[in-house]
Amino acid sequence: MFSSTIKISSVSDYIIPSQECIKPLMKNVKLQLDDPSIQLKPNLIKNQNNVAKVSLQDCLACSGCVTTAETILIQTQSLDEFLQAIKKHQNPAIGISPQSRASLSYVLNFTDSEMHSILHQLFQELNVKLYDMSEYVKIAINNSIQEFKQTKITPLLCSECPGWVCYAEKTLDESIINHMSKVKSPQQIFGAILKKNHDYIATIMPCYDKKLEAVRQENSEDINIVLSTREIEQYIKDYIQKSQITPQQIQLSTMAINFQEYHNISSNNYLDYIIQSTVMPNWTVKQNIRKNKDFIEITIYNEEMVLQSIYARVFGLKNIANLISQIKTKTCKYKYVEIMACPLGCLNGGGQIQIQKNTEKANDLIPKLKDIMISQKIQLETTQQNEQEMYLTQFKHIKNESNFQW
Amino acid sequence: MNCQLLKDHKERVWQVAWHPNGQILASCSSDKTIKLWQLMNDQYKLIQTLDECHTKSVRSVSFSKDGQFLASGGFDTVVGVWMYDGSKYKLIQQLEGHESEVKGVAWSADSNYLASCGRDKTVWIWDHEDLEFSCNCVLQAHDEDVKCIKWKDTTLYSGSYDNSVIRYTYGEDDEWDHKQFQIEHQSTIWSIDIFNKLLLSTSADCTAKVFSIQDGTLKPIQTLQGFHKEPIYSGSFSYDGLYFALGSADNKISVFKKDAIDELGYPHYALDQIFDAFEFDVNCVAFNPKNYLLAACSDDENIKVFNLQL
Repeated sequence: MFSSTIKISSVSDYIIPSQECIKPLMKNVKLQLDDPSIQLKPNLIKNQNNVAKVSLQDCLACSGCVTTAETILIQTQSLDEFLQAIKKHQNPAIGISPQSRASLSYVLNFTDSEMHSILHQLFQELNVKLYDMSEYVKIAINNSIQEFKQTKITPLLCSECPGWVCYAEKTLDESIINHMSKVKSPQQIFGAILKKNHDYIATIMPCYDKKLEAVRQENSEDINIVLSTREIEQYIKDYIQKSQITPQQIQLSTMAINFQEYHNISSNNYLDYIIQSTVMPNWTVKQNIRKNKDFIEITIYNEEMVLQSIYARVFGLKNIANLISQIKTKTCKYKYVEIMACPLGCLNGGGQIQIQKNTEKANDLIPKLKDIMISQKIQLETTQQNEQEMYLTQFKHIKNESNFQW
Repeated sequence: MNCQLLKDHKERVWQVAWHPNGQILASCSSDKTIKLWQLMNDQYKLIQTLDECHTKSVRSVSFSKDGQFLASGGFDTVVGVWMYDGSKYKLIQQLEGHESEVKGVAWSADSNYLASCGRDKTVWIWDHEDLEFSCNCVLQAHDEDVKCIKWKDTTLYSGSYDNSVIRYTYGEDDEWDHKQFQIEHQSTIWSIDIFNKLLLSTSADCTAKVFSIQDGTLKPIQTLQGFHKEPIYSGSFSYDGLYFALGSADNKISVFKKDAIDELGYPHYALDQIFDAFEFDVNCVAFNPKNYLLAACSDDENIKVFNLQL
C-alpha cells in the first residue's frame, strides 16, 4: 500500500498470459519468488480466453497495472541479481543496517558482533566490502538536529521512512509535504559518500520500501540494490553451514541510545536526539501514550515545570492518519515527529525475518532485538559543529498528477 | 405493484440507505451529493441535500442504527461523518486516509465503530470519543479493490474484487484478527447483506449465494443462478428475513421468498417475482427496516420505492 507505482510507457491492449512480461525492461525477470510469503499477482486480468484483455472494469479495480506493479520492481532487486552484479564490478560494497543485523543475530543465534564478523568474512570471499551503517545514521541524525535548529516549520516530520514518504507523496497536499524533513536517509547518505570509492553499492534493510527509496530519481541511483533481511537469510545460513567460520568479537559502534524510558531505538532514535539537543540540565521529560503504544507524546518542562515543547513518535498507518488529521485541522502541537510506517518501528519492518506466529509475537520479539542493537557497542556522539555537510533530498507532489514517472 | 419515483439527482445514483425509523431514505450520487427523502402523506419529499463534503462521486451512504449518525464514502477518498442536530444532518468531520476511492461505509450495531473500504484494498476502522473520530485500525487483508462491508454486531465482513469475503473480529491484544473465505464466487463480490445467521453475497458472476454463519465459518446453503444474466450489484434482506431482493446490471430486480426449511433447519428461497425496474443498471436495493417497501436506485439517475405487495 505504501509504495508508489512505476509507470512505463504505454501498455499494449493485449497482454499474453505468460510468466514473463513483454516489456523489454522486464524481460529477464522471473515472476516466481522463492519466498512464498511474498505474493505476486500477475493474474489480475479475469478472462477465460487465451488472450487476456484489460478492461476498464479491471483497470478501475486495480491500483497498479500488471506491468508496473512494485512487486516486479522489487523482483529486479533480488539476491540473484546481487550475486550476478558483484561479479561484474571491481569494487562492490554492502552496508548492513543495525535492525537487519539484529534480526539475523537473533535468528541465527550469534551475538551482534559475531554476526558482523561472519558477514565480513562472507562478503570478503565475494570481493564485497562490508560496512556497518552506524556512521551514516550518525550523519543523518546530525543533519536532522541542524535542520531542526534552523527551521521555522512546525511540526517538522522525519522523512527517513520511505513507506511514509511514498504514502505522503501520493495522498497528501503540498502544504503537508512541506513539513517533511529534507535530510537524506542513512541509506542515501551511505550511497552518496561511498560512490566516490565503490562502483556498486548494496544495502541490507529491514523492509522492501527501501528498495523503492533507492530507485527514486532524487537519489540518482547512488544505491544499486537493496536486499531485505529475509532475502539474504538463507544464503547466510547456507554459508555458515558449509564454511569454516570463526566468529570473532569485534567492536561495533552505534547511535542507538536507550537510557531513558521514552527512548525508542527501533527506528534509529531520531526523536531522542532532537529532544536531547533542546533539553537543559534539570529539565523534565515526560512521555504519555496517546491512543495506543505506537503514538507517544513527549513533553518537555523546564526547571520550574513550565511547559517548553511537545514531540511525538508515530508508528503505523492508523496513527499516521490521525496525526495528519491533526495537522490539517491545525491542532497539531508537536515540534518534531518521528514517523514510521511499520507498527513498532523498523525492527518490525516488513522485510525482517518472521518468527513463526505461534512461537513469538512482535511485542515479545522487538524488545529482544532492541537489546541486541544496544549491547556492547561504542557509543557514537553527535557532533556539535554548526557547519557540517548537509545531505538533502526532495519530494514529489503526485497526489493529483495522473502521469507520474520515476 | 406501486412505485414512487424520487427524482432529483443529476447523475447516476449509487446507493440508497434507510434510516432506522423507516421514514427517511438517504441516496448518494455521482453528482457529489447525498439527498434525504422523507415520507410525508404517503409521498416522499426531498428534505435535505448534503453537498458540502465531497468533491467527487459519493459512492456509499449509511445511517447508524440509532439514526444519530450518517456516514458517506466518496471517490475523493473522503469519508464524511454527519450528525443529526435535532432538525437536520450536519457534517461534523471529514475522515481522510484512504489512498483511493472509498467504495463502502458501515456502522457497527453499537455505533462505536465506523468501517470504510475502498480501491486501495484496505478496510479502515474508525472509532470516536466525544464525537471526535479517529482511525482505530487499517486492515489490508484483501488483494484487490474492496467493494462492500457489512457489520454483524461487532464483527465485520468485507467483499472484494478478489472474489473472497473476509471476516474481521476484535482480538484480545488490541488487534483485529481476520479470516478469509473463498466462497466460490467466480468474480467480484459486489455486496453483502446479513440477517441473523444468514449471509447473502451477490457477485459479478451473476449469482447470489446464501450462507449460514456458524462454527466460525460460512456454510453454503443456496446459490441463486440463472435469474440474472448480468452482474448482481446489490442484495438486501427484508426486516424479518422472509424475503431478499437482488438488483442487477440487467436493469431488473428479483425478489425471493423463503418457501421452506430443510431437515437441518436451513431456509430455502424461491423466486417470488422479477421485473424491469429501471432504464439502466440497478446499483442498489434496500428493504425498509420496518416493512416490505423496497428502495432501489439506478444509473438512470432515478430512485424508486416499490410497494411489492408481498
